[in-house]
Amino acid sequence: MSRCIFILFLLTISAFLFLSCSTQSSDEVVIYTSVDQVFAEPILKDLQQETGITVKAVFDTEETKSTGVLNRLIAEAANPQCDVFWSGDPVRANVLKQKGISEPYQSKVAEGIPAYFIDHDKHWTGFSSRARVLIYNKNLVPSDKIPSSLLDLTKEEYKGKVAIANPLFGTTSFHIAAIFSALGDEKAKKWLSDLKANNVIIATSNGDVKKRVSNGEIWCGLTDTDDANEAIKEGAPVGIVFLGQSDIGALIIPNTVSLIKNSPNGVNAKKAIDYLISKETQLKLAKSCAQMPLSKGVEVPQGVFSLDKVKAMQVNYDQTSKKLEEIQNYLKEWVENNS
Amino acid sequence: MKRTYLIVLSLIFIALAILPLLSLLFGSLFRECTINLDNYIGLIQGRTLQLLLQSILIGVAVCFLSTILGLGFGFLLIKSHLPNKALFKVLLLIPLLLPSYITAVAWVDFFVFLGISSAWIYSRVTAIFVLTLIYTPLAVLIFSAALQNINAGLEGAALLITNYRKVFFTIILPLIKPAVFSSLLLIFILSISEFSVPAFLSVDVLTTDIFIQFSAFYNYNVAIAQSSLLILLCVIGLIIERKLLADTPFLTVTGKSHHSRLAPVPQATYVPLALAIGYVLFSIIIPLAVLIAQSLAGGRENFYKALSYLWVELGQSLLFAITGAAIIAFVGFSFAYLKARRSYGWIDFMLMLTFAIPSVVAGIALINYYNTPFSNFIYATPAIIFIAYLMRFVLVAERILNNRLIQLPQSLEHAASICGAGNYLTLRKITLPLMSEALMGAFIISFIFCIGELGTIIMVYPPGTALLPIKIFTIMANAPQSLTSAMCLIVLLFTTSVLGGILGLWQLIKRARFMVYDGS
Repeated sequence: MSRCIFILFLLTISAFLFLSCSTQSSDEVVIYTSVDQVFAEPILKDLQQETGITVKAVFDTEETKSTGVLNRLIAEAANPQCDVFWSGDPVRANVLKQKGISEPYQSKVAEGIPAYFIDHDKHWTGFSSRARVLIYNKNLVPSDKIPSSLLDLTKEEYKGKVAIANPLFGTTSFHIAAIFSALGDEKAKKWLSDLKANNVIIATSNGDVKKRVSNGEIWCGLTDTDDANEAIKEGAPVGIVFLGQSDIGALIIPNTVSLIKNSPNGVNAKKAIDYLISKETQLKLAKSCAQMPLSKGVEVPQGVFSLDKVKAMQVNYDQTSKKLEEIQNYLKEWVENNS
Repeated sequence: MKRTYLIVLSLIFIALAILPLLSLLFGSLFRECTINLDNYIGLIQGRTLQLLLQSILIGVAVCFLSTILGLGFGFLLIKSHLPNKALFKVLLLIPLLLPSYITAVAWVDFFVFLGISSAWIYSRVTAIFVLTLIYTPLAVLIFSAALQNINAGLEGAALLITNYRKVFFTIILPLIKPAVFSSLLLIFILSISEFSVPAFLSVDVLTTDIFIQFSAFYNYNVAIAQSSLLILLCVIGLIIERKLLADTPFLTVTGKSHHSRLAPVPQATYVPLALAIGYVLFSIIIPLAVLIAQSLAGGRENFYKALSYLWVELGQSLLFAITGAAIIAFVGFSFAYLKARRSYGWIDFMLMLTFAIPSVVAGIALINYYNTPFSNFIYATPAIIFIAYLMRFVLVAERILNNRLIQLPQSLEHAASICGAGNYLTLRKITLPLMSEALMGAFIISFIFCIGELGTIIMVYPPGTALLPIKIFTIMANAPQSLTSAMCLIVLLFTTSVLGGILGLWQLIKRARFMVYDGS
């Protein structure tokens, strides 16, 4: 018996050594992304196929509110392992910029993208975008009661029937910061207080909002266009509304790509960024997850919203990121008092 | 085992797994090169203490409920006339094989289907309920091993003068006291360190606040200070356990002559069978039925798609988990030996530090420590994954093996020594064969934990490495529910088959060994 155990142990140690001796290819690029793997992975596979560069990716999880990769980047700052960070929103890209983890890169491919979606110091470049929308259950919400403005959500008729994801994380946090910028602190705080008084439900994520609306637990909720689009693809009885078309507009959230400072594969990193912000990639993302292309001249597939037809909230992404930092303690208290 | 070898192994473990955590904790005491205790002083505020209390409440409830259920089902498996015990042994492990987050999602979907109100679903009670179901298999494993090891002669002697009920409370229960405390302590620690279930159910506990500090505020020092509260709680638990176990008489098994004795209850099998089926239905069939219903909604091609996503990961994860479990069982045995035979009590405190720390903090500690140009050969390779496994789970293996070691009479080793056997020969011929069941138990539980580990691994896995839990959780965001459920079912089927294969092989080896004994 003990001989069996000894042999088993030797075998495992051999496996350990074999696994540990993995070689690193010189022609590779390491990409960390907080974009959902189902959408990001096909793009990265195409990048590998079309450029010949081996792509090694690290994806994020819904469970960690897509912040695991960012925490990893911060912790690795002293000895970066990553070359490119592809984020689903500008908040995380701005965190990297503020912490000195990213470096400027001006891609020629970015020429077709409006300057509005590019960091003024060139630390990140925006490409395809999502928008914040209201998703509602068609079986529960009468057609004459579909909300059209954020302010509608505080009305008595929606009491206990509206959900938002935890405003401390992800696109919801950025949305709330943008609302603070657009309405001013006082009005925004009143709106949040009214929401609380109206028994708003705090879901764990935008995906959770989508799920609760889809299965009829609640009437409606705030989420992102890709989540809403997924619900429609799954055949859920839901509708989408771009809120604020007659007032502050809907928040547009671009994907962003950042070059990591002192990245181990700098040349390949720039090639990868050029590929990610290209019109071809934006078209692929429009087809796979209804993301709105930002470059002029990209054909918008049927069923995908076009930026030209949506009234966008006027946002300075840099200032909104700073506003988010400013209101985080307030938001934490708001969440705690709400739970 | 030689003392020098054990000391060297301990030093290696300290260098690999303890120093990363200590350096992180030590660093949190400083701000701009001067000592700053603000983060620790800040812990004594109402909100943190309230969360701590909430964590303790949930932890205590879950550990007591799981331990009681685990003892009951351990008894059914070992001492009752339950038919098809082997099948139930594997079935009872299933809740441990499903990621806790997925189990929580499945139960919530089931409750929504039943029309239960959200206020009830997203509550502390549901968190306790789900966590109890998740951790009961661990208690079952611990109690099965302990009950199996009881010397049947002791029960037999006691039964000559009294009834079985009295034997249970005066003989059996005191004999498995170490298992009771191991179960309580391990499940308490696992429950208070759990993040995904309370977060999904919107129950605020200390780990959810630690997560907010990490992920919303990027305030690592506050998060680390809060984590130290969890460690403190575990150390208190350990001290209480030691006090309660101090006067326990560890009666022992006597080698190969012992066989587990069934309880002299009526032969009718329907009572234990009904209990076992009832529990299996409740804890396994319901979440599984939810997953099956969800995955079937996506059609048959959904399963092909899920399999295509997981194909590479299945093989790699298996290799990683088997290797990790073997290393953990080996190191766990060495530490158990140090503790049981050399009375090195500090081992417990050392291992507790690595086990109690929240997974994300452990990940940050590993990055800070290993991510340097000099140690890239560890950080940028799968070696970092094995260190993470070892760090997270060696305590569980050490506990299971220690429980067995203290039941073995040292007189057997002394007898071998008197006959001239050296340390190695005694270990090979006496200790290891008597420990084989417990070693296999430690290997199995380590395998289950390794194959499902996510929290720390997600922070450190080398880019391009393919592991099952990472794949499922990264695909989960925005993938249709049917696809996620299909992936979980495939992983469950795969892991159960592997476990069944390992246990079957183990039975064959054991049978072959017994045949040799019978013939000799």
